[in-house]
Amino acid sequence: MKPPARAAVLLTRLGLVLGFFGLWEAGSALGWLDALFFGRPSAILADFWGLVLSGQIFIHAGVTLQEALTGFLLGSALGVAMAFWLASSPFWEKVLDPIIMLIYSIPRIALAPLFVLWFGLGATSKVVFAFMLVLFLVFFNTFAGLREVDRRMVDAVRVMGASRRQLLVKVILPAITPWVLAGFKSGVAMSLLGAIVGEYVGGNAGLGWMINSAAGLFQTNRVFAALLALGLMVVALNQLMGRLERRALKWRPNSNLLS
Amino acid sequence: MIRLEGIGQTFLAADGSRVPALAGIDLAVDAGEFVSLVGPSGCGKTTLVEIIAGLQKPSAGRVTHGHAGQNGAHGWAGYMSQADTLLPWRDVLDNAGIGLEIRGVPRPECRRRAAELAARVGLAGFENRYPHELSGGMRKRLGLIRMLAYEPEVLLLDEPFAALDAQTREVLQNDLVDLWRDFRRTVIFVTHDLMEAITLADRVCLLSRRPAAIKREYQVDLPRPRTSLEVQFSPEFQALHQAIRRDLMAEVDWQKAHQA
Repeated sequence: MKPPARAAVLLTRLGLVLGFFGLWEAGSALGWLDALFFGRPSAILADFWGLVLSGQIFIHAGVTLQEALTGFLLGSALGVAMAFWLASSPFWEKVLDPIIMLIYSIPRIALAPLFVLWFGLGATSKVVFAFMLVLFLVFFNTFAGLREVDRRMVDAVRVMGASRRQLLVKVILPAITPWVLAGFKSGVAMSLLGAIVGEYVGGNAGLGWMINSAAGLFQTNRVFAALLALGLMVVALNQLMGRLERRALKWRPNSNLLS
Repeated sequence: MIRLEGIGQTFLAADGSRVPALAGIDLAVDAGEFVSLVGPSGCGKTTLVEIIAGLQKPSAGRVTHGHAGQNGAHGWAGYMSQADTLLPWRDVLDNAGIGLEIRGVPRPECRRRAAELAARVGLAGFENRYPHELSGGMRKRLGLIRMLAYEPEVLLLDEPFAALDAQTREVLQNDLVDLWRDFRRTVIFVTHDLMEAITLADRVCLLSRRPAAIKREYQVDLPRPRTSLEVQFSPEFQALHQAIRRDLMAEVDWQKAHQA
C-alpha cells in the first residue's frame, strides 16, 4: 500500500477538527445544545481573550506552573538520588522494597484532601502533592535504568583504569539518560496533574481552582477557556521535553520515533 | 612480562558449598609474547582472564607484572571479550580515545590519536559514526584500537571474535596479528577454537578440567604469517592440532564421565 500523502492527512485532520467546532458552534447558536452546560466555541475564545487582556490567565497559569515545576524539581532530584542510593545498597533496597511498593500502590490521587489538610490551601499542599507523584515515577525509571546498565560495558572501561567517579560520569550517567529522561517526561505531565488536582480539592488560585470555581457557577465558557490555557501549557512543556530528549539522545537509532 | 603464581579461585555455590574453579595456575608470559589459552568448556578460562584483568580477586595466588608498583590499580591491561562493550553514545573517535581520556589527555588529542589508529584498521571515513552505524567486524576493530590507544602492557582477549561469522573472524585475526606485530604487546588470548589458538599464538596453554590448572604447554614454532592455507594444512600444524585436540578431549571426556 502507498503511504498516505502528508497533505491529505493534514487536510482531513483539519477538516475533522473544524467540523467538530463548527457543529458545536452551530448547535449552540441554533439552540440544539444548551449553552449553559456546553458553552460555545466563539464565547470560549472571547472569554479566553478577555482573560489574556486582563492578565488573569497568566496569573493563574503562573501559579499552577510554579507549583508543578517546584514539585517536579524536588521529586526528580529526590527520585534520582533515591534510585542511586538503593541501587548501591542491596541491604536498604531489600528493606524498603515492600514499603515502597505499598506506598506506590495506594492511589495517590486519593490522598489530595489529606495534603490540603496538612499543608493548607496555599501552594505548599500542591507542591507536596506534585512532588509525591513525580518522586515515584522518576525513582522507578532511574532505578530500572541503573539495573539495566550493562556490567560488561562498565567492566571494559574499569579495566582501562577508570576511577569510580569516571565510571559514573563517562559510563553510568550516559547509559541511564534515556531512562531518566523518560521519567522526567512523564513526570512533567504528572506534576501538572498533581497541581491541578490539588487546586480542585482546595485552593484559592491557579488554573485548577479557576476550572473548579467556574464550574460551580455554571460558567461553562470559563471552564473551557481555562482548559484551553492548560492545554497550551502542556503542549509547550511537551515540546520542550521532546527537544531536550532529542538533543540528549541524538546518538540513538531512530531517536525521533521515540519522542 | 606477566607472571601468575598459584592462582586459585573458589566460588560459593547456592547451597553454601565451596566450588573450586581454579587450582594453582602458574604461568609466565614474556613481554611481547602471544599466548593462547584453551581448555574444556566451563573450565574457568574467563575467570582466569577476569582475575588477570583485576575484575575478580583470586582466593589464592597473585598476578605480578611490570607495573607492580601501581598495586591493585587497573589500567596496565587491555581487555576485550565477546560482548560488544562499545559505548553507544560515543562516536568512533570518542570510543577509541576513552582510555586516553581517563588518563587526563585532552579530548582533541584523544581524538587525534584515535583517528590515526582508526585509519590503520580501515575505519577512516567512519570517525564520526556511532557504533550502531557500524558492521559487526568494524565494531570489533574499533574495540581493538580502543584497547591499544592507551598503550597497555598486556592485552587480555577472551574469545573476542567468537560471535563473528567465519569470514569476518579471519579478517579480524589478521588485523589482530598485524597490530600485535607493530605494537609488540604481550597477548593472552582465550579461545575454544584450536585452529585459532595455534594460528595466532607463539605458545598454546591447555587448561585442565575443573578445578583448572595448566595441563600442558605447546610451543608453536611455525613460520608467520600463518593464516594462509599452506601453513594450516602443513604436517607440522596438523600434528600440533592433533596433539592438543587429543589432550583436550581427554579432559572433556573425563568431565563428561564424572558429571553423569
